[in-house]
Amino acid sequence: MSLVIISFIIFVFLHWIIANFTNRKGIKHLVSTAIIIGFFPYYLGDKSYSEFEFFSVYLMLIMFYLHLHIGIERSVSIRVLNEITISPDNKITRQNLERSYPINQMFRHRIQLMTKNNWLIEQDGKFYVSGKSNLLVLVTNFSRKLYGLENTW
Amino acid sequence: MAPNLSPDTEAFLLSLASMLPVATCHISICKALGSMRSVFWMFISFAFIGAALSIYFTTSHRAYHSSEFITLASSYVLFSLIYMEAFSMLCRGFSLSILVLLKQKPGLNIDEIIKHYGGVGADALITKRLQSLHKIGLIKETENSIMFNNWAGVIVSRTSLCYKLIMKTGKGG
Repeated sequence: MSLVIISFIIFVFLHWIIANFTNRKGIKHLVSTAIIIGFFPYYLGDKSYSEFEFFSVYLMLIMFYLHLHIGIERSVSIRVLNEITISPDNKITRQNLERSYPINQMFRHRIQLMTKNNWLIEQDGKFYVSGKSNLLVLVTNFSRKLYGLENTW
Repeated sequence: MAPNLSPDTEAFLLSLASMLPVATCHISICKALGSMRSVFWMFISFAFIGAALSIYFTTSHRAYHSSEFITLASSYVLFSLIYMEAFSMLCRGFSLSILVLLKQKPGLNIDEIIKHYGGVGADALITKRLQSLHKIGLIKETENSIMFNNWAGVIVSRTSLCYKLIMKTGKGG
């Protein structure tokens, strides 16, 4: 298992380099780095264990890391906790929270990002779902109905 | 299972296939007992199907090696994490909810999206998150302010702040 741990450490170190010294911070860069780093040590190292054993443990660690990374980077709840921490006496009023973390700005940023990635189409300031979004919405609506999910916001 | 599969391949494919009973079990419990605690039911489904899978694997007709069990366990956790991520997006996917809204009401501008988000507006989003943090005991709210309830909240917050600083993710959220 030492090879898996070494691969994972190399991946985290490379992620740190990418995050700090390049402007490629998207998830797809993170995933492609993980895949490349996973292949090299395995094929250069000894073959005392099978490919499935190596890659299932390695990918499990990568998935844990991605969960952690996306959770910390995107979570609204984590951001709220952070705002409490950086406030004087670790206390914040609702008004100050809304001032330091304006939800409207977060919406604008996310909508811009979705438009840039072709999930949304903008025409004269109005937004429409794109072709690839249609299928995703269909699957989402079906799955939400299947699980009986309410208040999904 | 085809006889020419190696035990490691079999373990990996069994874990992948077990996501179907996990989803079936999860949906059935949500239907029977309500989706209010859907995340909790998801973990119950993982535990239940995971236990059944390991019993099947260890009591199957052939002797198994520890390496095969490692493959089985790690690939089961891997697929469970993928399932968890997908379910989490369904439950609270911010971008996904915007897409669903725009499919229902095409041609909204940004202000209208913010106003109509989730049928309640964007302000309700922060209230819901605060309620969730309060419910799990990380924060408490007095009349005037919001503060940490215990050290768990402080540790989660400080650890995530350190990570954001090291990985230069910005403020996040």
